[in-house]
Amino acid sequence: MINPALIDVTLDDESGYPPEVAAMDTTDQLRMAAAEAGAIVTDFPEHLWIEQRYWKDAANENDINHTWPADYIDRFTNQGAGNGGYGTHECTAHGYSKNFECAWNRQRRIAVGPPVPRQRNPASANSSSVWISCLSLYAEANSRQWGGAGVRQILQISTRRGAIPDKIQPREYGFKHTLQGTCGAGGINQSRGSWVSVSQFPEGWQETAKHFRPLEYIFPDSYEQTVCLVLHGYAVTVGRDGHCVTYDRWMVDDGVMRYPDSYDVSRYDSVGRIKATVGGSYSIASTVIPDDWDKPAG
Amino acid sequence: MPSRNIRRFAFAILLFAAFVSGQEISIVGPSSPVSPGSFEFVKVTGLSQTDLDASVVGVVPDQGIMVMPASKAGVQPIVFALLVSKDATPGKRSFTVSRNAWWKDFEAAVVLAQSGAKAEHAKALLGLAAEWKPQYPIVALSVPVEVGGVPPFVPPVVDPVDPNKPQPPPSPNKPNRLTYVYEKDQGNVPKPVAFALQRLNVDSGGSVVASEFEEDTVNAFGQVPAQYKLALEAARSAGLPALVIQSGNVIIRVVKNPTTEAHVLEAAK
Repeated sequence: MINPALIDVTLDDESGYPPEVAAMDTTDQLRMAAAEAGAIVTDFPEHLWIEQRYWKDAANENDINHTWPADYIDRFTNQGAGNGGYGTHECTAHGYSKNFECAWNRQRRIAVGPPVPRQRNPASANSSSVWISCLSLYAEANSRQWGGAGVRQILQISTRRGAIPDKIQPREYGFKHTLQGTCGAGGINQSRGSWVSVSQFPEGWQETAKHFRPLEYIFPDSYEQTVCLVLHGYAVTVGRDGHCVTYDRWMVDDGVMRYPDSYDVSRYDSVGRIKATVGGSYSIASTVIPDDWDKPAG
Repeated sequence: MPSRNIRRFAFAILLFAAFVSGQEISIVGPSSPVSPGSFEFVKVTGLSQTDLDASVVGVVPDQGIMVMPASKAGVQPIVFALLVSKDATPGKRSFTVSRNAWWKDFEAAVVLAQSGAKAEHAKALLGLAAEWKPQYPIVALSVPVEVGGVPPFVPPVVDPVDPNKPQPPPSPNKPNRLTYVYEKDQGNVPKPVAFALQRLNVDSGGSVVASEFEEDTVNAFGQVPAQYKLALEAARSAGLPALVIQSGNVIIRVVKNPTTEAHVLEAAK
């Protein structure tokens, strides 16, 4: 039984996704932004459609095969205060990071999840999991640091030039360029540090970031399509009610969608909320793939 | 060289052929005239450009293949195929090359004539793709087939394992890379296949790279990722989706359209 207090939560102090920014995140705007940045924009593929009466079967299949989006996500991030950090407005970048990392690990076909707050999955050390710096995206989306960023902005920036790896990684890759993951609390699986502008990024960072770009997006335009994507192992990122999160598991018996919130806690959205916020959601279908999984940045 | 691989895998009749989306094969009469034209045929010792001789030197019950006949660098990529005959027995076979047999755009039909066995005895096609360029390894494809009626394979007799005796190094042909290659518009990776790949990754402790690859995916430079080039070529030759099993840069076999966990795990053995 899911604690009702964790369903349809609206964070009073979260202002990383203000209404004026959210208003610009329509599905059409997202599609255009992704295409302009060079990504493949795909309509919801028919073969991913699952009739609602089969959702439970599909969910059971995911339980058996460990093929939920959550199974490809191996960390929580924390944009909030604590650990020497302060509450940030980076939510759209944190939401994106989970979607990207899910797609990356799904392609590699290593189940490194589900994520557990403040814990590291030992399997990650033997995988090809890479953790990206949320700050490396947000710093360009909002150079003023405060006020948040649009889903569309993060999507466009990440598609155009990629993300810099976090200073903390599940294993040693020897990246030439890394950046703190957040100005917030971070944690065992995410580094934290001071605010930096893009001009303060490590010199030559683009050479590393370009290896961590999405290639293709799917934009659902209905609640049912959102559920179908999740049932097929695709994470779906949504911006809604001042906050941005990424769905990683459909709780079929409860009729709610789970998301690893960027505050070291799992929360849930009801069907009503999902329906109200489908516009402006996205799923990363594929990412750039390295020439060698052991050397993801070459 | 060829003979080593032939011995190793089994009986075979060397044909000049191509894969035709599956294991369909057409056979033309043995008397078809041949004109070498400008085509550069990969030479096999003792053969002319119009006739092929290949020795059937053994049998395997469920699959076979691997012939490396190329002897000249710089020839164009070429595809051979092995026609498995139910009544194949060790011995020498002769074939005549049909004029229509020449390779066309990598998608031509099988075109060699088999003079040593009746066409109706042809059971399945095994394929071998040899991209013969100095800088590339030869790529071999093997497609599991049914070859009912052939003499049973007799495994070599080996001594029981002595725990105190140093064990030989792992077989160089032990699979260490499995790739499910697919085209996204044709459907997703079947979940049991995904699970099997995930299981192999975990169970191997990292010594096996089991993954999926959508054929249009690229690296940061817009190119086919180096680690998937061989698998992609092999899978496309066999027809997508396909599971490509490699040992390093050698392709051990290709399994067409696997759908179950067992398909993958069996192929990984």
